[in-house]
Amino acid sequence: MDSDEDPPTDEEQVNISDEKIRKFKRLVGFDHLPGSDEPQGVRVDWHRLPAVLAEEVKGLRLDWESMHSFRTGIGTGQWTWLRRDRQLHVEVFVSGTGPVGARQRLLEIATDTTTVQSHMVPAIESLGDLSIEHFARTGREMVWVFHNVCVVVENDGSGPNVLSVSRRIQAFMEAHLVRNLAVHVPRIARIDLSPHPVRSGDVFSVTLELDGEVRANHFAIEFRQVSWPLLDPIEHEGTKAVFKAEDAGRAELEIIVLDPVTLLSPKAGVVIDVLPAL
Amino acid sequence: MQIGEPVAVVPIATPPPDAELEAEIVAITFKSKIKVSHWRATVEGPHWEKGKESAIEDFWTRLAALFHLPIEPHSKRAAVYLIAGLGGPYDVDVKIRITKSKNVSGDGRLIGRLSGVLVEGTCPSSVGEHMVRAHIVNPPEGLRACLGRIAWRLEVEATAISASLGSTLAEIYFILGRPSPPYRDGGVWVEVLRFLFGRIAVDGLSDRRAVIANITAYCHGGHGLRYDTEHGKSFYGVSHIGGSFNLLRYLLRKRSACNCYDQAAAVQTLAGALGVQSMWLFLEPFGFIRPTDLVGVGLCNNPFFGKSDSSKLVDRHSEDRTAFGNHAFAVTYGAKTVDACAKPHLATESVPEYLSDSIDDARTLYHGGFRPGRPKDVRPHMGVLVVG
Repeated sequence: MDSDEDPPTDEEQVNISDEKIRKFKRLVGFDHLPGSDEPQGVRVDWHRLPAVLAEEVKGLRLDWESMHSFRTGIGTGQWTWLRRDRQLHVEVFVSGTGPVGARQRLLEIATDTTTVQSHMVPAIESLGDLSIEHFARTGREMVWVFHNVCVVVENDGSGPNVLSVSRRIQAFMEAHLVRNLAVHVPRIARIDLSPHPVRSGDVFSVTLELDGEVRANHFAIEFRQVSWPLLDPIEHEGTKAVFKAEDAGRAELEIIVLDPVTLLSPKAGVVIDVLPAL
Repeated sequence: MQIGEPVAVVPIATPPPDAELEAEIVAITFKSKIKVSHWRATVEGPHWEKGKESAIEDFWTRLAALFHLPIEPHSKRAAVYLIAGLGGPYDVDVKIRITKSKNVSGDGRLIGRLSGVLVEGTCPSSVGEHMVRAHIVNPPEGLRACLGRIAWRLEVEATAISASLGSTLAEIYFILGRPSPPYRDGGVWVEVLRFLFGRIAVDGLSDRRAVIANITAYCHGGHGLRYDTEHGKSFYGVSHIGGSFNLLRYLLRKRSACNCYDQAAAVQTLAGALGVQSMWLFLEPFGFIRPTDLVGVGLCNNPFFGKSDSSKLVDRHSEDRTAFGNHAFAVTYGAKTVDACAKPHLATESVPEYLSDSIDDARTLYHGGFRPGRPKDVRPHMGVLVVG
C-alpha cells in the first residue's frame, strides 16, 4: 500500500528536458520564427565591440576578453567590464551555419539549466529575431538572436543598463549584415585520413585542405575529441594532426576552423572507426 | 651516543694538492612522457640553458596576484613526472661542460638537489662537453611541487675532489597519473598546477580519493562561488553533459555564480590535472533536495528561492519549495561520488547512498509527472573534453 512517504513510481514520469524545451519553444514561438534559412548574416570584427560600447561602459575597465571556438560551427566572444561592484558581461555566439546554430544556442541558454522549467520568457523589449529575459523581468539580462548571432548581456544587478548596451550591440550587428554569409565562412574542401582504415595501435594523421586562397595560419584550427574511445594526440601543426588510436571503437573528432576576427567557422567533423589490432 | 663513548673515526679524503676541477651546467632537459603547457603553449626542452635563464623566468605577477599566490620566480618551462611507483620515466638529460680537469681521473657523479628530490648521473671528468643521462633517484611518493633552484655538484670519488656547478631554476611537479583528456593535446596547464599546489591542500597526498575530496571541498567552500538560484544555469560554458569548460575564467572567478555543471567540471578538470580521474554523471529527473549546504548559499532545501521572494529553507510541504530538474556530479575511484555543489560529498558514498542522502523522495512532494531521480536514471557522459 502506498504511503505519502513512498516515492512515486516510474510510470508517473515524463521526460523533464523534453517537456521543458517543448514548453519554452511554444512560449516563445520558437518553431515559427521566420528567416531560419536566410542567407544574410552578421560578419563583423568582434574585437571592435569594446570600442562600440565605450559610452555605455564609461568608468568601467575591461577585465576579461576572450574569443575562441565554442564548438564546431560556433565561435564565441566574451567580455567583462568591472569597477568595484559594478559589472557588465557580454557574450556572443556566432554561427557559421546561419540562424539555425544561433537559435539552437539561445534554446540551450534558456533550457540547459537545472530548473524543472525554463525561467526565460519573451522579453518586453523586442530585439533582433527573438529576445528573452528572466520571468522576474529584473532588467539584469537580455538574450537575443539576430540572424546568425546569439547575444547575452548581463549586469548582475549593478552594472550599466542592459537594454542600452543591448541596443548598441544590435545596431552594431545591423550595420554589418552581409548578403551571403556562407561565402565569408572558412571552407574545408577535404579531410584526409592516413592510413585508412585505422587499427588499434596505429599512428594516423588527419589533414585538412582548406578551400580558396586563404592561408591556414589566418585561422584557429583545432581537432576536438568528442567521443570515446579517446585518441592519443601526438602532434598538431596547422592543418594536420597526428593521433595514436589506442582502443578499438568509433572515435569522433570535431574540426574547428575559426576566423578569429569574425568568429565564423564551418561545422565539420570526422568519424574514425578504429578497428581491432590484427 | 653518550659523551665518552668510543667512535670510529673515518679520515676525510682530501684531493691531491695539484688536482683541479671546474665545470658548469650548459643545458637541462627533463625527459618525461607528460606534456606541460605554459599559457596554452606546449613546453619544449631544454628546460634550462646557460645564459638564457632570464628568458625562462616567469614572474607571472598578474596571474599570481589574481590567484592570491605569492609572487616568486617560476619557470616558463616546467616539467611534470609521475610519483614513485608509477613507472616513470624519471630521466633528466644534463649537458655539462668541464672547463678544467687537472690530475683528476675516473668518472664523476653529477648530483642535483631540489626540495628533497635528488638527480644523479655519471659524468666523465675530462675537459669538454658531456651529455649526462641522469635520473631522479628518489621521486616522491605523493604529490609534490618542487620550485626553486637545483643545486648542482660534480664529485669524483677516485680523486676525492668535487666542484660546485652552481644552481639552475626549475619547476617540477610530481602527479598521480596521466592528466585527463582535456590536457592531452597541449599538455597539463602549469597555471592549474600552481593553483592546485598553492591554494588547495594536495601537497604530499598519494590517495586519489583524498585528492579529489580536497578539491571538491575547495570548490564548494573555498572558491567563493554562489549557486545561481534564479536560473540554475552554467556560467563557465559547460552543458549538462560537460563539453567545453572555461577553466581559466573559473579559476579567476570571473563570474560570481555557478551551477552544478560548472562545479562538476571544476572538480573533474582540477583533479584531472593531477592525474586523478572521474566520470561525469547526469541525473534527470533529480527532485527536491533534503536540507543541505548549497554552494555559496548555505543550508537550503529550496534551490530556486531566488526566482521569487521565497526563502532558501522552507517548510517541507511549502508551495514555494522548488526542486532540481536535473543534476550533474561525478564518480571517482571505488565508485564513490563527489559533488561540490551541495554538502559537499567527498568520495565517501556510493551513488545510491549519495542520492538517498540528497533527494527528498516523499511521494506527496511530486506531481504532474515529476518524480525523484533514482540510481537507474543516472547516465554517464563524456564530461569536460576541452578547457579554455
